[in-house]
Amino acid sequence: MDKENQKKNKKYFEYYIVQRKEEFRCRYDHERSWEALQCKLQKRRKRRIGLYCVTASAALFILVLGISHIFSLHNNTQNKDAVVAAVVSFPETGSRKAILTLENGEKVDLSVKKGTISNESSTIINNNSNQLLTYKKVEEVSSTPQMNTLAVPRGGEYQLILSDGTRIWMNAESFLRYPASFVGEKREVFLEGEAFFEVAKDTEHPFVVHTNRHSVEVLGTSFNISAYPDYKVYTTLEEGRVKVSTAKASVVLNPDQQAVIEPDNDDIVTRDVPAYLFTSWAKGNYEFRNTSLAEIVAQLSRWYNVDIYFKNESLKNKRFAGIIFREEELSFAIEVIERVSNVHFTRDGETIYIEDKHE
Amino acid sequence: MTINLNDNGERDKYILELFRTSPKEAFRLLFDTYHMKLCIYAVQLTDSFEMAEDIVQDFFIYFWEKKYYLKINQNLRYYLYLSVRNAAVNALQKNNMLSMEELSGIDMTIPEESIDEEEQEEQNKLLLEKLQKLSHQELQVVRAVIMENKKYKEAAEELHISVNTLKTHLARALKKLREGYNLYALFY
Repeated sequence: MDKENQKKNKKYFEYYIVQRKEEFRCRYDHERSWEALQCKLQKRRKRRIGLYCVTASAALFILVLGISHIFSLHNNTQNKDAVVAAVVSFPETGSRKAILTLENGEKVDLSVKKGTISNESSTIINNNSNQLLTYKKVEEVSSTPQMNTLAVPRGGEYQLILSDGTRIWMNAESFLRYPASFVGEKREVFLEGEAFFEVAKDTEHPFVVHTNRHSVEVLGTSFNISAYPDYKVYTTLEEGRVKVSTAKASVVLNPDQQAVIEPDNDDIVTRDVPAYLFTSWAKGNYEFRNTSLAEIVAQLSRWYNVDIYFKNESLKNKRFAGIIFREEELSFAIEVIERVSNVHFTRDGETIYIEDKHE
Repeated sequence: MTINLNDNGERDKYILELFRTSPKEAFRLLFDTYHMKLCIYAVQLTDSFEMAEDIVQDFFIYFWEKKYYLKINQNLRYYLYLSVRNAAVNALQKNNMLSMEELSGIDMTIPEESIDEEEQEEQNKLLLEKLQKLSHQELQVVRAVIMENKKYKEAAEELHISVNTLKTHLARALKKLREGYNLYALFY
Protein backbone atom coordinates (compact mmCIF):
# COMPACT_ATOMS: atom_id res chain seq x y z
CA MET A 1 0.00 0.00 0.00
CA ASP A 2 1.58 3.30 -0.95
CA LYS A 3 1.87 6.23 1.40
CA GLU A 4 -1.01 8.21 -0.07
CA ASN A 5 -3.46 5.38 0.35
CA GLN A 6 -2.18 4.61 3.79
CA LYS A 7 -2.92 8.15 4.86
CA LYS A 8 -6.37 8.03 3.34
CA ASN A 9 -7.19 4.75 5.00
CA LYS A 10 -6.06 6.08 8.33
CA LYS A 11 -8.42 9.03 8.02
CA TYR A 12 -11.33 6.74 7.27
CA PHE A 13 -10.45 4.61 10.25
CA GLU A 14 -10.21 7.66 12.46
CA TYR A 15 -13.63 8.78 11.37
CA TYR A 16 -15.01 5.29 11.89
CA ILE A 17 -13.47 4.98 15.35
CA VAL A 18 -14.84 8.32 16.45
CA GLN A 19 -18.28 7.18 15.33
CA ARG A 20 -18.00 3.95 17.27
CA LYS A 21 -16.86 5.69 20.43
CA GLU A 22 -19.77 8.08 20.15
CA GLU A 23 -22.20 5.24 19.61
CA PHE A 24 -20.89 3.55 22.72
CA ARG A 25 -21.22 6.71 24.73
CA CYS A 26 -24.85 7.04 23.69
CA ARG A 27 -25.68 3.51 24.75
CA TYR A 28 -23.68 3.62 27.94
CA ASP A 29 -25.62 3.37 31.18
CA HIS A 30 -23.36 4.14 34.11
CA GLU A 31 -25.69 3.07 36.90
CA ARG A 32 -26.56 -0.18 35.18
CA SER A 33 -22.88 -0.98 34.73
CA TRP A 34 -22.30 -0.33 38.41
CA GLU A 35 -25.16 -2.60 39.38
CA ALA A 36 -23.94 -5.33 37.06
CA LEU A 37 -20.52 -5.09 38.66
CA GLN A 38 -21.93 -5.22 42.20
CA CYS A 39 -24.09 -8.15 41.30
CA LYS A 40 -21.18 -10.10 39.90
CA LEU A 41 -19.04 -9.32 42.92
CA GLN A 42 -21.79 -10.56 45.21
CA LYS A 43 -22.25 -13.76 43.26
CA ARG A 44 -18.57 -14.48 43.45
CA ARG A 45 -18.49 -13.76 47.18
CA LYS A 46 -21.38 -16.12 47.75
CA ARG A 47 -19.76 -18.84 45.76
CA ARG A 48 -16.62 -18.66 47.82
CA ILE A 49 -18.17 -18.35 51.26
CA GLY A 50 -21.01 -20.73 50.49
CA LEU A 51 -23.54 -18.46 52.12
CA TYR A 52 -26.94 -19.15 50.73
CA CYS A 53 -29.17 -18.64 53.69
CA VAL A 54 -30.33 -15.08 54.15
CA THR A 55 -33.59 -13.56 55.20
CA ALA A 56 -36.44 -14.32 52.84
CA SER A 57 -36.87 -10.82 51.43
CA ALA A 58 -33.18 -10.26 50.85
CA ALA A 59 -32.96 -13.57 49.03
CA LEU A 60 -35.87 -12.60 46.79
CA PHE A 61 -34.29 -9.26 45.99
CA ILE A 62 -31.03 -10.86 44.97
CA LEU A 63 -32.83 -13.52 42.98
CA VAL A 64 -34.82 -10.91 41.08
CA LEU A 65 -31.72 -8.90 40.36
CA GLY A 66 -29.99 -12.05 39.18
CA ILE A 67 -32.78 -12.93 36.78
CA SER A 68 -33.07 -9.51 35.21
CA HIS A 69 -29.33 -9.49 34.81
CA ILE A 70 -29.43 -12.83 33.05
CA PHE A 71 -32.08 -11.61 30.66
CA SER A 72 -30.11 -8.58 29.65
CA LEU A 73 -27.04 -10.73 29.22
CA HIS A 74 -28.99 -12.97 26.90
CA ASN A 75 -30.05 -10.02 24.80
CA ASN A 76 -26.47 -8.95 24.54
CA THR A 77 -25.32 -12.32 23.36
CA GLN A 78 -27.59 -12.04 20.35
CA ASN A 79 -24.98 -9.69 19.11
CA LYS A 80 -22.22 -12.13 19.75
CA ASP A 81 -22.71 -13.41 16.25
CA ALA A 82 -21.50 -10.10 14.89
CA VAL A 83 -17.86 -10.91 14.45
CA VAL A 84 -16.19 -7.69 15.01
CA ALA A 85 -14.28 -5.17 13.05
CA ALA A 86 -13.45 -7.01 9.92
CA VAL A 87 -12.31 -3.82 8.41
CA VAL A 88 -11.86 -4.73 4.87
CA SER A 89 -10.84 -2.84 1.83
CA PHE A 90 -11.38 -3.92 -1.70
CA PRO A 91 -9.52 -2.84 -4.74
CA GLU A 92 -10.32 -1.32 -8.01
CA THR A 93 -10.38 -4.04 -10.57
CA GLY A 94 -8.76 -3.39 -13.86
CA SER A 95 -11.69 -3.54 -16.23
CA ARG A 96 -14.56 -1.12 -16.15
CA LYS A 97 -16.16 -2.21 -19.40
CA ALA A 98 -19.36 -0.30 -19.21
CA ILE A 99 -21.41 -0.47 -22.38
CA LEU A 100 -23.63 2.32 -23.67
CA THR A 101 -26.42 1.39 -26.06
CA LEU A 102 -27.76 4.24 -28.15
CA GLU A 103 -31.25 4.77 -29.51
CA ASN A 104 -30.38 3.24 -32.83
CA GLY A 105 -29.10 0.07 -31.19
CA GLU A 106 -25.43 0.88 -31.60
CA LYS A 107 -23.30 -0.34 -28.69
CA VAL A 108 -20.38 1.72 -27.48
CA ASP A 109 -17.63 0.24 -25.34
CA LEU A 110 -17.00 3.02 -22.86
CA SER A 111 -13.61 1.71 -21.85
CA VAL A 112 -12.42 2.32 -25.37
CA LYS A 113 -14.41 5.24 -26.70
CA LYS A 114 -13.59 8.44 -24.82
CA GLY A 115 -14.52 12.02 -25.43
CA THR A 116 -17.54 12.98 -27.46
CA ILE A 117 -19.71 10.13 -28.61
CA SER A 118 -21.42 10.93 -31.84
CA ASN A 119 -25.12 10.66 -31.72
CA GLU A 120 -27.69 11.67 -34.27
CA SER A 121 -29.69 13.62 -31.74
CA SER A 122 -29.44 17.12 -30.46
CA THR A 123 -27.57 16.09 -27.37
CA ILE A 124 -23.86 15.83 -26.87
CA ILE A 125 -22.65 12.84 -24.94
CA ASN A 126 -19.24 12.98 -23.37
CA ASN A 127 -17.36 10.11 -21.84
CA ASN A 128 -14.37 11.23 -19.82
CA SER A 129 -11.53 9.12 -18.52
CA ASN A 130 -12.90 8.89 -14.99
CA GLN A 131 -15.97 6.78 -15.61
CA LEU A 132 -18.27 9.74 -16.06
CA LEU A 133 -20.83 10.05 -18.81
CA THR A 134 -22.41 13.47 -19.32
CA TYR A 135 -25.34 14.53 -21.44
CA LYS A 136 -25.65 18.11 -22.58
CA LYS A 137 -28.68 19.43 -24.38
CA VAL A 138 -27.69 21.70 -27.24
CA GLU A 139 -30.91 22.45 -29.00
CA GLU A 140 -34.61 21.77 -28.85
CA VAL A 141 -35.38 18.10 -29.01
CA SER A 142 -37.94 16.14 -30.93
CA SER A 143 -41.06 15.02 -29.16
CA THR A 144 -39.96 11.40 -28.90
CA PRO A 145 -37.27 10.73 -26.32
CA GLN A 146 -34.13 8.99 -27.51
CA MET A 147 -33.56 6.12 -25.13
CA ASN A 148 -30.05 5.12 -24.14
CA THR A 149 -29.01 2.26 -21.91
CA LEU A 150 -25.93 2.15 -19.72
CA ALA A 151 -24.83 -1.31 -18.64
CA VAL A 152 -22.33 -1.50 -15.81
CA PRO A 153 -20.70 -4.93 -15.45
CA ARG A 154 -19.61 -6.81 -12.37
CA GLY A 155 -16.49 -5.24 -11.02
CA GLY A 156 -17.40 -1.85 -12.42
CA GLU A 157 -19.05 1.37 -11.48
CA TYR A 158 -20.03 4.46 -13.43
CA GLN A 159 -21.33 7.96 -12.94
CA LEU A 160 -23.87 9.71 -15.14
CA ILE A 161 -24.99 13.27 -15.47
CA LEU A 162 -28.22 13.47 -17.41
CA SER A 163 -29.32 16.35 -19.56
CA ASP A 164 -31.26 17.94 -16.70
CA GLY A 165 -28.26 17.89 -14.39
CA THR A 166 -29.35 14.85 -12.38
CA ARG A 167 -26.32 12.89 -11.17
CA ILE A 168 -26.45 9.15 -10.85
CA TRP A 169 -23.82 6.84 -9.34
CA MET A 170 -24.23 3.34 -10.67
CA ASN A 171 -23.02 0.33 -8.78
CA ALA A 172 -21.69 -2.91 -10.22
CA GLU A 173 -24.00 -5.20 -12.21
CA SER A 174 -26.55 -2.48 -12.91
CA PHE A 175 -28.45 -1.18 -15.91
CA LEU A 176 -30.08 2.15 -16.47
CA ARG A 177 -32.36 3.06 -19.36
CA TYR A 178 -32.98 6.78 -19.81
CA PRO A 179 -33.65 9.38 -22.46
CA ALA A 180 -30.72 11.32 -23.90
CA SER A 181 -32.84 14.36 -23.31
CA PHE A 182 -35.97 14.63 -21.20
CA VAL A 183 -39.20 15.22 -23.04
CA GLY A 184 -42.70 15.44 -21.70
CA GLU A 185 -44.37 15.87 -18.36
CA LYS A 186 -42.32 13.40 -16.38
CA ARG A 187 -38.62 12.59 -16.33
CA GLU A 188 -38.56 8.80 -16.38
CA VAL A 189 -35.72 6.31 -16.14
CA PHE A 190 -35.55 2.52 -15.69
CA LEU A 191 -33.18 0.83 -13.29
CA GLU A 192 -32.08 -2.71 -12.60
CA GLY A 193 -29.40 -3.14 -9.94
CA GLU A 194 -28.22 -0.34 -7.68
CA ALA A 195 -27.80 3.39 -8.10
CA PHE A 196 -27.58 6.50 -5.99
CA PHE A 197 -29.49 9.48 -7.35
CA GLU A 198 -29.04 13.21 -6.84
CA VAL A 199 -32.01 14.53 -8.73
CA ALA A 200 -31.92 18.05 -10.13
CA LYS A 201 -34.83 20.07 -8.89
CA ASP A 202 -37.61 20.70 -11.37
CA THR A 203 -40.98 21.12 -9.77
CA GLU A 204 -42.79 21.04 -13.09
CA HIS A 205 -41.41 17.70 -14.14
CA PRO A 206 -41.36 15.03 -11.45
CA PHE A 207 -38.51 12.53 -11.75
CA VAL A 208 -39.58 8.89 -11.68
CA VAL A 209 -37.37 5.82 -11.37
CA HIS A 210 -38.97 2.55 -12.47
CA THR A 211 -37.66 -0.86 -11.58
CA ASN A 212 -39.13 -4.29 -12.25
CA ARG A 213 -40.81 -4.23 -8.91
CA HIS A 214 -41.62 -0.65 -8.05
CA SER A 215 -41.38 3.00 -8.96
CA VAL A 216 -40.06 5.98 -7.05
CA GLU A 217 -41.32 9.49 -7.73
CA VAL A 218 -39.34 12.55 -6.66
CA LEU A 219 -39.25 16.28 -7.00
CA GLY A 220 -35.62 16.98 -6.30
CA THR A 221 -33.68 15.04 -3.79
CA SER A 222 -31.02 12.38 -3.10
CA PHE A 223 -31.74 8.72 -2.51
CA ASN A 224 -30.48 5.21 -3.12
CA ILE A 225 -32.26 2.35 -4.85
CA SER A 226 -31.04 -1.22 -4.60
CA ALA A 227 -33.08 -3.41 -6.95
CA TYR A 228 -31.08 -6.49 -7.90
CA PRO A 229 -33.13 -9.31 -9.41
CA ASP A 230 -34.32 -11.92 -6.87
CA TYR A 231 -33.22 -9.83 -3.91
CA LYS A 232 -35.20 -7.52 -1.65
CA VAL A 233 -35.64 -4.04 -3.11
CA TYR A 234 -34.42 -1.23 -0.88
CA THR A 235 -35.18 2.43 -1.45
CA THR A 236 -33.38 4.72 1.00
CA LEU A 237 -33.95 8.45 1.22
CA GLU A 238 -31.16 10.80 2.19
CA GLU A 239 -32.65 14.22 1.48
CA GLY A 240 -35.99 15.49 0.21
CA ARG A 241 -39.12 13.41 -0.26
CA VAL A 242 -40.06 10.54 -2.50
CA LYS A 243 -43.11 8.45 -3.18
CA VAL A 244 -42.51 4.72 -3.54
CA SER A 245 -45.16 2.66 -5.33
CA THR A 246 -45.62 -1.01 -6.19
CA ALA A 247 -48.54 -2.62 -7.98
CA LYS A 248 -50.18 -3.02 -4.60
CA ALA A 249 -49.11 -0.21 -2.30
CA SER A 250 -47.68 3.26 -2.10
CA VAL A 251 -45.72 5.07 0.58
CA VAL A 252 -44.09 8.48 1.05
CA LEU A 253 -40.60 8.52 2.53
CA ASN A 254 -38.92 11.15 4.65
CA PRO A 255 -35.16 11.49 5.04
CA ASP A 256 -33.51 8.55 6.84
CA GLN A 257 -36.37 6.27 5.96
CA GLN A 258 -36.26 3.17 3.85
CA ALA A 259 -38.88 1.25 1.91
CA VAL A 260 -38.32 -2.52 1.66
CA ILE A 261 -40.05 -4.76 -0.88
CA GLU A 262 -39.72 -8.54 -0.63
CA PRO A 263 -38.85 -10.52 -3.77
CA ASP A 264 -42.10 -12.42 -3.72
CA ASN A 265 -44.80 -9.89 -2.92
CA ASP A 266 -45.66 -6.26 -3.52
CA ASP A 267 -46.13 -5.07 0.05
CA ILE A 268 -44.00 -2.18 1.18
CA VAL A 269 -42.43 -2.08 4.64
CA THR A 270 -41.05 1.24 5.87
CA ARG A 271 -38.37 1.53 8.50
CA ASP A 272 -36.09 4.19 9.93
CA VAL A 273 -32.44 3.77 9.05
CA PRO A 274 -29.32 5.90 9.07
CA ALA A 275 -29.37 6.69 5.36
CA TYR A 276 -25.60 6.98 5.16
CA LEU A 277 -25.25 3.22 5.74
CA PHE A 278 -27.00 2.62 2.43
CA THR A 279 -25.60 5.46 0.39
CA SER A 280 -22.00 5.47 1.51
CA TRP A 281 -20.93 3.15 -1.31
CA ALA A 282 -21.28 6.04 -3.75
CA LYS A 283 -18.91 8.05 -1.57
CA GLY A 284 -16.28 5.36 -1.71
CA ASN A 285 -16.84 3.16 1.30
CA TYR A 286 -19.36 0.51 2.26
CA GLU A 287 -20.53 0.20 5.83
CA PHE A 288 -22.56 -2.61 7.28
CA ARG A 289 -23.77 -3.69 10.67
CA ASN A 290 -24.63 -7.27 11.49
CA THR A 291 -24.75 -8.39 7.88
CA SER A 292 -24.61 -12.02 6.84
CA LEU A 293 -21.58 -13.34 5.03
CA ALA A 294 -23.88 -14.36 2.19
CA GLU A 295 -24.88 -10.73 1.59
CA ILE A 296 -21.36 -9.42 1.97
CA VAL A 297 -20.08 -12.01 -0.45
CA ALA A 298 -22.80 -11.13 -2.99
CA GLN A 299 -21.54 -7.57 -2.95
CA LEU A 300 -17.87 -8.55 -3.12
CA SER A 301 -18.77 -10.75 -6.05
CA ARG A 302 -20.19 -7.80 -7.94
CA TRP A 303 -17.40 -5.43 -7.10
CA TYR A 304 -14.51 -7.75 -7.82
CA ASN A 305 -16.20 -9.69 -10.56
CA VAL A 306 -15.44 -13.08 -9.05
CA ASP A 307 -17.68 -16.05 -8.43
CA ILE A 308 -17.78 -17.01 -4.80
CA TYR A 309 -19.31 -20.29 -3.64
CA PHE A 310 -19.96 -21.65 -0.18
CA LYS A 311 -18.71 -25.18 0.39
CA ASN A 312 -20.37 -25.09 3.77
CA GLU A 313 -23.90 -23.65 3.62
CA SER A 314 -24.02 -22.78 7.31
CA LEU A 315 -21.23 -20.26 6.83
CA LYS A 316 -23.67 -18.11 4.86
CA ASN A 317 -25.25 -16.98 8.10
CA LYS A 318 -22.11 -15.84 9.86
CA ARG A 319 -22.54 -12.19 10.63
CA PHE A 320 -20.07 -9.37 10.30
CA ALA A 321 -19.82 -5.70 11.00
CA GLY A 322 -17.36 -3.57 9.19
CA ILE A 323 -16.51 -1.01 6.62
CA ILE A 324 -15.01 -1.58 3.21
CA PHE A 325 -12.81 0.99 1.57
CA ARG A 326 -12.30 1.21 -2.16
CA GLU A 327 -8.63 0.46 -2.20
CA GLU A 328 -6.42 -2.56 -1.63
CA GLU A 329 -6.77 -5.97 -3.15
CA LEU A 330 -9.32 -8.68 -2.77
CA SER A 331 -6.65 -10.89 -1.22
CA PHE A 332 -6.17 -8.39 1.59
CA ALA A 333 -9.90 -8.38 2.26
CA ILE A 334 -9.99 -12.16 2.34
CA GLU A 335 -7.04 -12.30 4.67
CA VAL A 336 -8.78 -10.05 7.17
CA ILE A 337 -12.04 -12.00 7.11
CA GLU A 338 -10.06 -15.19 7.64
CA ARG A 339 -8.17 -13.79 10.56
CA VAL A 340 -11.26 -12.64 12.40
CA SER A 341 -13.35 -15.74 11.91
CA ASN A 342 -13.28 -19.47 11.23
CA VAL A 343 -13.85 -18.97 7.56
CA HIS A 344 -11.35 -20.02 4.95
CA PHE A 345 -11.18 -18.89 1.34
CA THR A 346 -9.53 -20.87 -1.43
CA ARG A 347 -9.05 -19.52 -4.90
CA ASP A 348 -9.21 -21.50 -8.10
CA GLY A 349 -8.66 -19.16 -11.00
CA GLU A 350 -11.57 -16.75 -11.10
CA THR A 351 -13.64 -18.76 -8.62
CA ILE A 352 -13.41 -18.54 -4.86
CA TYR A 353 -14.67 -21.13 -2.38
CA ILE A 354 -15.59 -20.57 1.24
CA GLU A 355 -15.25 -23.35 3.79
CA ASP A 356 -14.47 -23.98 7.45
CA LYS A 357 -10.94 -23.39 8.56
CA HIS A 358 -10.47 -26.88 9.91
CA GLU A 359 -11.28 -28.67 6.69
CA MET B 1 -8.47 19.34 53.80
CA THR B 2 -9.85 20.42 50.49
CA ILE B 3 -9.02 18.57 47.32
CA ASN B 4 -9.59 19.88 43.89
CA LEU B 5 -11.39 16.97 42.26
CA ASN B 6 -11.05 18.61 38.89
CA ASP B 7 -7.34 18.25 39.04
CA ASN B 8 -6.65 14.73 37.82
CA GLY B 9 -3.43 14.27 39.74
CA GLU B 10 -4.90 15.39 43.04
CA ARG B 11 -8.04 13.39 42.56
CA ASP B 12 -6.13 10.16 41.84
CA LYS B 13 -3.98 10.61 44.90
CA TYR B 14 -7.11 11.14 46.94
CA ILE B 15 -8.67 7.95 45.59
CA LEU B 16 -5.61 5.88 46.50
CA GLU B 17 -5.58 7.40 49.97
CA LEU B 18 -9.27 6.75 50.41
CA PHE B 19 -8.73 3.08 49.62
CA ARG B 20 -6.74 2.76 52.82
CA THR B 21 -9.54 4.13 54.96
CA SER B 22 -12.86 3.48 53.18
CA PRO B 23 -12.23 1.11 50.30
CA LYS B 24 -15.89 0.78 49.34
CA GLU B 25 -16.29 4.51 48.95
CA ALA B 26 -13.02 4.75 47.08
CA PHE B 27 -14.06 1.95 44.74
CA ARG B 28 -17.26 3.76 43.87
CA LEU B 29 -15.36 6.96 43.23
CA LEU B 30 -12.85 5.11 41.09
CA PHE B 31 -15.66 3.55 39.11
CA ASP B 32 -17.44 6.87 38.62
CA THR B 33 -14.27 8.51 37.45
CA TYR B 34 -12.81 5.90 35.18
CA HIS B 35 -15.25 3.21 34.15
CA MET B 36 -16.70 4.84 31.06
CA LYS B 37 -13.35 6.19 29.88
CA LEU B 38 -11.74 2.77 30.19
CA CYS B 39 -14.62 1.17 28.32
CA ILE B 40 -14.22 3.68 25.52
CA TYR B 41 -10.52 2.93 25.35
CA ALA B 42 -11.33 -0.78 25.15
CA VAL B 43 -13.87 -0.11 22.38
CA GLN B 44 -11.18 1.75 20.50
CA LEU B 45 -8.89 -1.27 20.69
CA THR B 46 -11.40 -4.03 20.05
CA ASP B 47 -14.27 -2.33 18.21
CA SER B 48 -16.63 -4.52 20.22
CA PHE B 49 -18.98 -2.97 22.77
CA GLU B 50 -19.61 -6.27 24.46
CA MET B 51 -15.99 -7.29 24.64
CA ALA B 52 -14.98 -3.88 25.95
CA GLU B 53 -17.50 -3.96 28.78
CA ASP B 54 -16.51 -7.50 29.74
CA ILE B 55 -12.84 -6.64 29.80
CA VAL B 56 -13.29 -3.58 31.96
CA GLN B 57 -15.74 -5.30 34.28
CA ASP B 58 -13.36 -8.22 34.79
CA PHE B 59 -10.61 -5.77 35.56
CA PHE B 60 -12.64 -3.96 38.19
CA ILE B 61 -13.54 -7.30 39.73
CA TYR B 62 -9.93 -8.44 40.05
CA PHE B 63 -8.87 -4.99 41.15
CA TRP B 64 -11.30 -5.21 44.04
CA GLU B 65 -10.95 -8.88 44.98
CA LYS B 66 -7.18 -8.94 44.86
CA LYS B 67 -6.90 -5.53 46.50
CA TYR B 68 -4.61 -4.17 43.82
CA TYR B 69 -5.33 -0.71 45.16
CA LEU B 70 -2.90 -1.37 47.99
CA LYS B 71 -0.11 -2.14 45.59
CA ILE B 72 -0.18 0.84 43.28
CA ASN B 73 2.85 3.01 43.62
CA GLN B 74 2.78 4.76 40.36
CA ASN B 75 0.36 6.87 38.45
CA LEU B 76 -3.14 5.45 38.99
CA ARG B 77 -4.46 6.55 35.65
CA TYR B 78 -1.57 5.03 33.78
CA TYR B 79 -1.93 1.80 35.72
CA LEU B 80 -5.64 1.51 34.91
CA TYR B 81 -5.22 2.15 31.19
CA LEU B 82 -2.28 -0.18 30.95
CA SER B 83 -4.21 -2.98 32.66
CA VAL B 84 -7.15 -2.55 30.34
CA ARG B 85 -4.87 -2.44 27.35
CA ASN B 86 -3.18 -5.71 28.35
CA ALA B 87 -6.50 -7.36 29.02
CA ALA B 88 -7.78 -6.24 25.63
CA VAL B 89 -4.74 -7.56 23.84
CA ASN B 90 -5.12 -10.91 25.59
CA ALA B 91 -8.80 -11.15 24.85
CA LEU B 92 -8.24 -10.34 21.18
CA GLN B 93 -5.53 -12.95 20.95
CA LYS B 94 -7.67 -15.55 22.63
CA ASN B 95 -10.48 -14.90 20.18
CA ASN B 96 -8.14 -14.80 17.24
CA MET B 97 -9.04 -11.23 16.41
CA LEU B 98 -7.00 -8.36 15.12
CA SER B 99 -6.88 -5.22 17.19
CA MET B 100 -8.10 -1.99 15.66
CA GLU B 101 -4.64 -0.65 16.30
CA GLU B 102 -3.11 -3.24 13.99
CA LEU B 103 -5.84 -2.90 11.40
CA SER B 104 -5.85 0.85 11.20
CA GLY B 105 -2.20 1.61 11.82
CA ILE B 106 -3.32 4.30 14.24
CA ASP B 107 -1.30 4.63 17.40
CA MET B 108 -3.47 3.68 20.36
CA THR B 109 -1.04 3.84 23.23
CA ILE B 110 -2.43 5.20 26.45
CA PRO B 111 -4.13 8.50 25.68
CA GLU B 112 -2.64 11.67 27.01
CA GLU B 113 -4.27 13.15 30.00
CA SER B 114 -5.75 16.52 29.37
CA ILE B 115 -8.26 18.80 30.93
CA ASP B 116 -9.78 19.10 27.49
CA GLU B 117 -10.59 15.39 27.31
CA GLU B 118 -14.25 16.07 27.99
CA GLU B 119 -14.27 18.97 25.62
CA GLN B 120 -12.61 16.91 22.89
CA GLU B 121 -15.34 14.28 23.28
CA GLU B 122 -18.06 16.88 23.08
CA GLN B 123 -16.51 18.30 19.94
CA ASN B 124 -16.23 14.88 18.32
CA LYS B 125 -19.90 14.34 18.97
CA LEU B 126 -20.83 17.70 17.47
CA LEU B 127 -18.69 17.13 14.44
CA LEU B 128 -20.27 13.79 13.74
CA GLU B 129 -23.73 15.26 13.98
CA LYS B 130 -22.79 18.01 11.61
CA LEU B 131 -21.00 15.77 9.14
CA GLN B 132 -24.14 13.76 8.80
CA LYS B 133 -26.10 16.88 7.98
CA LEU B 134 -23.91 17.67 5.01
CA SER B 135 -25.24 16.84 1.60
CA HIS B 136 -23.64 14.13 -0.48
CA GLN B 137 -21.67 16.64 -2.53
CA GLU B 138 -20.59 18.69 0.44
CA LEU B 139 -19.26 15.61 2.21
CA GLN B 140 -17.31 14.58 -0.87
CA VAL B 141 -15.78 18.02 -1.10
CA VAL B 142 -14.87 18.10 2.60
CA ARG B 143 -13.30 14.70 2.30
CA ALA B 144 -11.27 15.53 -0.77
CA VAL B 145 -10.06 18.94 0.27
CA ILE B 146 -9.67 18.63 4.01
CA MET B 147 -9.14 14.96 4.76
CA GLU B 148 -7.23 14.06 1.65
CA ASN B 149 -5.56 17.41 1.30
CA LYS B 150 -6.20 17.74 -2.38
CA LYS B 151 -5.76 21.01 -4.20
CA TYR B 152 -8.97 22.62 -5.39
CA LYS B 153 -8.28 21.94 -9.04
CA GLU B 154 -7.45 18.30 -8.40
CA ALA B 155 -10.47 17.72 -6.20
CA ALA B 156 -12.80 19.49 -8.61
CA GLU B 157 -11.58 17.32 -11.46
CA GLU B 158 -12.02 14.19 -9.44
CA LEU B 159 -15.54 15.10 -8.45
CA HIS B 160 -16.49 16.27 -11.92
CA ILE B 161 -17.45 19.76 -10.88
CA SER B 162 -16.00 23.18 -11.57
CA VAL B 163 -13.62 24.79 -9.11
CA ASN B 164 -16.23 27.44 -8.43
CA THR B 165 -18.84 24.83 -7.60
CA LEU B 166 -16.33 23.12 -5.36
CA LYS B 167 -15.61 26.35 -3.54
CA THR B 168 -19.31 26.97 -3.07
CA HIS B 169 -19.87 23.50 -1.63
CA LEU B 170 -16.84 23.85 0.57
CA ALA B 171 -17.90 27.23 1.88
CA ARG B 172 -21.37 25.93 2.66
CA ALA B 173 -20.03 22.80 4.32
CA LEU B 174 -17.54 24.69 6.45
CA LYS B 175 -20.22 27.13 7.48
CA LYS B 176 -22.38 24.26 8.64
CA LEU B 177 -19.46 22.70 10.49
CA ARG B 178 -17.92 25.80 11.97
CA GLU B 179 -20.12 27.30 14.74
CA GLY B 180 -17.73 27.57 17.61
CA TYR B 181 -15.87 24.46 16.63
CA ASN B 182 -12.31 23.60 15.69
CA LEU B 183 -12.46 21.53 12.53
CA TYR B 184 -8.75 20.95 12.37
CA ALA B 185 -8.61 19.32 15.76
CA LEU B 186 -10.16 16.20 14.37
CA PHE B 187 -8.49 16.02 11.00
CA TYR B 188 -4.93 16.93 11.92
